[in-house]
Amino acid sequence: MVVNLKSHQSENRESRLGSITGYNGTLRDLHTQSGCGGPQNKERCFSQASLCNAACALGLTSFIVDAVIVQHSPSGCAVTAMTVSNATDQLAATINLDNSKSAYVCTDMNEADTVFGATENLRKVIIEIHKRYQPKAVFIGASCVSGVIGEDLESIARELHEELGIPIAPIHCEGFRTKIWASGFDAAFHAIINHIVKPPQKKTNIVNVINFFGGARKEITEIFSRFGVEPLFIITNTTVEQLSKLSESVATMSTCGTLGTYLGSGLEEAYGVPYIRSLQPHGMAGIESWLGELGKVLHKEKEVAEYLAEEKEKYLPKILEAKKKLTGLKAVIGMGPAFNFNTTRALQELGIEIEYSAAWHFDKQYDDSKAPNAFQYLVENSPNNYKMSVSDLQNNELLNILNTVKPDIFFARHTGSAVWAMKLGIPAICLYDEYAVFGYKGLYNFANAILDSVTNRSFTENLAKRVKLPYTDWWFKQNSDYFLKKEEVNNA
Amino acid sequence: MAEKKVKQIAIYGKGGIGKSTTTSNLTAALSLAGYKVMQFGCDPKSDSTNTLRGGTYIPTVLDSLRESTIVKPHEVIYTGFNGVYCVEAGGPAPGVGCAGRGIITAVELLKKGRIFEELDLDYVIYDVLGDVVCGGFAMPIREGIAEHVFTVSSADFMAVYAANNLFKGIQKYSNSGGALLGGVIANSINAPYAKDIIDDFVAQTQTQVIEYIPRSVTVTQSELQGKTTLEAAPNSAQAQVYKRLAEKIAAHTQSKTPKPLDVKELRDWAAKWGDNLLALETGEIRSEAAGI
Ligand SMILES: Nc1ncnc2c1ncn2[C@@H]1O[C@H](COP(=O)(O)OP(=O)(O)OP(=O)(O)O)[C@@H](O)[C@H]1O
Ligand code: SF4
Ligand code: SF4
Ligand SMILES: [Mg+2]
Repeated sequence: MVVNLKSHQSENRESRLGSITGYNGTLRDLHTQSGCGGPQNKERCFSQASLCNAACALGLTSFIVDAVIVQHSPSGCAVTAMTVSNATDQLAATINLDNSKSAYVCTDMNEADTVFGATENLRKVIIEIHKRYQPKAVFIGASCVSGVIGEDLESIARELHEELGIPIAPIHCEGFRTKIWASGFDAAFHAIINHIVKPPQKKTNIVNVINFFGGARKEITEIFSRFGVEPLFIITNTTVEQLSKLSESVATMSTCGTLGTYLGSGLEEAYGVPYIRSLQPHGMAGIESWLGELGKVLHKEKEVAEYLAEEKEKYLPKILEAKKKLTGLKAVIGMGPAFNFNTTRALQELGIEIEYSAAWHFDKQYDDSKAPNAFQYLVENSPNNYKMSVSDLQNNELLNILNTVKPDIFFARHTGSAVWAMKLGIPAICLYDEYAVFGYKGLYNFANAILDSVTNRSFTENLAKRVKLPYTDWWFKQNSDYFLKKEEVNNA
Repeated sequence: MAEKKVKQIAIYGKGGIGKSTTTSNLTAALSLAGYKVMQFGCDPKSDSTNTLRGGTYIPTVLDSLRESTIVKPHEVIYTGFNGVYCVEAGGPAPGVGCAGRGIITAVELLKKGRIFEELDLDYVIYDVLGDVVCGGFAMPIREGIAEHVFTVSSADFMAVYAANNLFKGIQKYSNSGGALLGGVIANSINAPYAKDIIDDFVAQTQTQVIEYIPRSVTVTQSELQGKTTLEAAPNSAQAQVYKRLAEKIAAHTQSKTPKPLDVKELRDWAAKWGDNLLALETGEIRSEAAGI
């Protein structure tokens, strides 16, 4: 087991999981390299802006309905607040949740705070926030500045926990800790396991479903009811009370291997809640594996098989029909590794050929010390050994790849990157909804969406005609790995 | 009228080696020689200028930063013995915040205010805390704040080690307009072998000893009265030593890039002196210094 819950903070992915952000080669070469101590990270001699792991850590926790985030940082680090504050309100409204106890604030560290330390100010802010919002928990977000000057967040948290009687949980998401933003998820989950989750009082029939926004809430609740269990979609839109009982659930599963590994493994380690390690529920093989493994843990193999058979009967003919029209399409995919591998598998089920795949980082293993199932599946089953690059969303590299490959379609998971492909005249689909390819039905709908995109091209073509890209011809003539340093650097 | 150039000097050295004592006496001596001098304590302890002000502490630049980002000169500049200007950078309590950033902030605040020019100073002398542990404490030798650095060192190995580290810092910034080394102020030099050690060290690192200062009970007595030796015992022999130091520093114009020893050279050098001293003790070499 690699998750160390005794420490104040989670280890970063680079050292814990051997994760990297710099690689260029092929699917199976990456696999081979992962076997022998590698893959070695390749540093870049030029890099575009990337994302701070604090954005993942605090963005995620800010969706807890009755907790407050206090980011102990200069105000610039709190840019995440802008993106989440609107979304948290909208989401809460759509499912009738009262999120009036939640807030995202920043201590706005200035020069004097940096010189003298500002834990007293942090204390005052937390006390004030407690008065105003009466949250059920407070998360303290660390920053580069608080980390460099060694602000003692643990002591403040302990003292205020005693004074206010609610969990006060420091999240160690200092930006310099890691180049991999997903390390921020781990930092947040580390804080949740250590400060929020309580030892079980009883066992429930709840399955923890780690996901982002719970889009398929209704559908999954219906499916799970056939197996006698109830899903709890975490951690967006959950309460501190609900989170405190994660230890009582029958199992934990995840719609994203990257997101789920730390919490899943941590709950298993601390409280023996089994973490279901499977493919994610994208497409046919995905749903069969995801529910199949759940069935084993619940001893409901028969019920699961029945459900899958019904779905198959309903959708497989339609899927095969759609597949005829899609077979032979060439695609590029650019996503975080877990969604990348799972979506790739689904695309291959539709007969689409992946020519190039860009992953926003690569985890050599998850916290069970095994390679991600979805990656392993592709290594064993992908019809072609497609090209692969790993970058922390270096847009210049992505555009170079797209311009070179000129695929029929590009698949993204971030609205920002989808539009860049369209500026090159390449139709693109952004899978912003994590359940867009959920199971048989999702795969069928997805097939239709792809068909729509590749046949209705006029918007993309018109956009491309009118846009001037910021990249030079010189850049488009280079290999996309031009900025990767040639000598290999150990990144531990 | 051409603007007068303020001569800015930084004094470094291992903790407790005598930087503040030496600096304060130097400031007092330069002032008595007719120069306008400011002593700028760059140490969160903010005790650099105590003996210039009857043993009292003054409010610091960083204290004023807590209230506002513009310093008002009258809040941070205090006059002491013979009209010298005393400033303390200040800093956080031990174990919190960032003292290094504090030094940078304090020096920049004063520079921004063009206070040195307004006061028509001849000398600004920075008394900088202990070893250069991080970028903040290298501030006075970077970016052309001070032109000349002097390091206070005794003949103890750890003091020499700190001096050598400082030389590395100076060498690093020497090509980008940083301060250069004026030399070593050899403090607490009483035994002859101590002089030999420090002389050998400056020869190895291609610098010089600017003055030898004996350890003297007069210094202690003056300090206990909250005064510099120049104030408490102006006619003592020790006061004459400090005056000589001030004259030499006033006359000093050309500083140089030192040649610090690398780790192995320094260790070998120390081992050689260890053998020498052992020989001295066992009587192979006769000397008055045998009773260490
Ligand atoms: N030449 C000397 N003769 C006698 N006593 C001395 C001499 N030089 C320094 N001292 C004494 O040594 C002690 C430490 O000196 P001082 O405070 O000047 O050191 P410092 O280098 O400024 O220390 P710090 O690094 O803590 O600021 C003081 O009590 C001082 O009086
Ligand atoms: S924590 Fe560091 S890397 Fe992250 S936003 Fe703040 S300064 Fe930037
Ligand atoms: S080592 Fe220097 S820069 Fe780092 S916190 Fe301490 S004083 Fe500040
Ligand atoms: Mg001192």
